[in-house]
Formats: sequence, structure tokens, C-alpha cells
Amino acid sequence: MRIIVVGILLSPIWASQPAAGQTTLSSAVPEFAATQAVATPDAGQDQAEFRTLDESIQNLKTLVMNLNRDLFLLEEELLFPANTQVAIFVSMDVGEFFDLDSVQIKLNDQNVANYLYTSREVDALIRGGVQQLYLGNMKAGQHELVAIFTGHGPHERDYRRGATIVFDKGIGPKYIELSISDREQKLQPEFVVTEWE
Amino acid sequence: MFIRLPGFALVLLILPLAGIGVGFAAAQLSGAQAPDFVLKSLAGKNLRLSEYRGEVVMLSFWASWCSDCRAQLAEINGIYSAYRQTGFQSLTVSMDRDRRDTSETMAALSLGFPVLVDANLEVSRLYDVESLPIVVLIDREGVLREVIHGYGQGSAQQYLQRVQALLTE
Repeated sequence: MRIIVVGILLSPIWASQPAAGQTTLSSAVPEFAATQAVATPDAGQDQAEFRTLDESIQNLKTLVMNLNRDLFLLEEELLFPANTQVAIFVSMDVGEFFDLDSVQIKLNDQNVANYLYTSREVDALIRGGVQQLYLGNMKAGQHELVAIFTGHGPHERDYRRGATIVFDKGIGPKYIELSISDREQKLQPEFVVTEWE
Repeated sequence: MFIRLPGFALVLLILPLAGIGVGFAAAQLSGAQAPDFVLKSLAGKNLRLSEYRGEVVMLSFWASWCSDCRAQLAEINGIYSAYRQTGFQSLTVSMDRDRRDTSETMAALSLGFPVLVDANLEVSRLYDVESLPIVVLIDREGVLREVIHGYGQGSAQQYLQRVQALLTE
């Protein structure tokens, strides 16, 4: 019982700074009390630490995003190296005479892409968006691209038109654009396939 | 009550590996991002699932030969009418091989929401649909939250509760 009483009496001393003129009982404690004082940070130090921590987190996030971007580019470079890469893009200019429904791509008579367009996607194309419809690998040499456009033409008639191009795949990536535009003179849509230099 | 697909329809689907058992594979997608797809509606518009992000989507699969499906669709139509303005969307996917069968059924039902035609069963395969009717609930983030199989007594209340829960999240 005596030991317990001593323990209870001593606990307040441990929790606070020793007052001046204390007896020797507390002399062994000041070190501990002093240590306790150092171990408890004040509010200002807390805020500084949190600010530093927050900055560290933000920096880490930026680093992760940059790494993610680099990883994506590296992955694309690995899967579709420049010397074999072929990319096909779709764009629309105005689009008054043609309501695009779908585009089908054939490379060397092999179906490689078939895309249905929603009204939102068509709207994005008309506003100037360019869509990467296909990304693949092809060996060097001559290749044939056939693009089939399906939709509605003037007077709500069903429209199905094709455009063909024979291109040379050399060293370096090949970019091909499928462009749908309005030919005002004939009041008909025009489908043009061009290679980007 | 739910109806098993006829044999010929099962042949057309990519079945799960043998030996796994008669599991409802669509349920395995729960918690994951709902597989995106684009299908043409009966009205002739192309509709993409991901464009409904931000809304709670009830995706149902049916066929004209499924009698329970008609009652289910009528019930879903009621929910759609009630909750459309609160960010709820319903899409129903017909697995009929012939578009005309879908049109005839829809003419009788007069649904207010889009009816998509999956004649090649590509989307049905994507969602591992093995029996009809089936309803898939997708939250505003595009996550597949629940798959409800069959339609019977209590199903209507279940749909309502699930939709209300997702709308209030």
C-alpha cells in the first residue's frame, strides 16, 4: 500500500516542470521532466512541421504524376516503337453535309478498327477535335489503307463511302489523317486521306 | 424467377471455363469499373455507357422470348419516369439476333428510355450474361455495384431500394 501511495504522489511530478525549492525526491525527476518538456512541441512548431509535411506530399504527388506520364510514354514507345508505329486520326471540318455514324479501317485487307460515334463525339470532332482511331505496328514497305465511312448524307439519306490510300512505311512513325469535310460546290461530303509529313 | 438462355444462345456466348460451376459471372464484376461499350439504339443513335458518368445507371439485359423480362422492363420504366430528373438513367440491351423482334416487343411496351441492340452479343459477353432477366446497377463513378438476377415477387421493391440508395450517395 505504501509503495502505491508513493507512486501516485510521484506521477504529478513526472507530468509537470519541477518547481523551485523542491525536495531531493524530485531531484531525480527533473531530468525526466526536462526531457518531457523537450518532447512536447509547441503549436508553432507543429504548424511548421505540418507545412513541411504538406509540401513534401505535394512534391511527391507531382513526382508521381510525372513518373506516370513518363511511364505512359515509355510504354507507348515500347509497344509501338517509332520505326514500326502507324497512327490513324479522324477529323471533321464543319460536317453539315454528313452525319457521321461509324468509321471502319482496313489495313492490307485486315479489319483493324471499327468505331461507332456518339453525338457527343461527333460534336467534339466538328468543334475541331482530332481522334486517334488506330495505333499499331507495321513493317516497312507498301501498305494499303481503306477507310469506310458510314452515316447520313444530305436529305437524311444513308451514306457509305470509302477512301483508299497506298502508303510507304519507312523508318520513323507514320501518321495518316482521315478528314471529313463539306464540299460546298457539290453540296456533298468529301472524304480525304492524307499522310502527315 | 429467371429464365435460362436457350441452348443455341448459350452456344453463341463465350461461356466461363468448365468446372467453375454454374456461377453468375457478371457478379464477379461488382466493385470494378463497369466495362464500357457503345451500341446502336432502336432509334438509330449510338450510345456509349461512359457518357453517362455522373448518373446512376440501371443496365438491363433481356430478349423478346423472355416473358419475365417484359414485366421487369415495365417496372423499370416506372422507376425511370420517377427518378429521371434526379440523375437516374436506364439502358436496356436486347439480345435478340433479329432487330425486328426487338422492335415488335418495344412497340407494345412503350419504354421511355433507350433500347440498345446487341445482335452480336458482344456486350452480353462483356458482362458475362448467362441468364435472363438480369439487371446491373452502376453508380455515378461508373463502378458496377450490384447484379440482380431474375425477376419475381419483391424484385420491384428491391430495384427501387437499390436505386434510391445509389441516388442518395
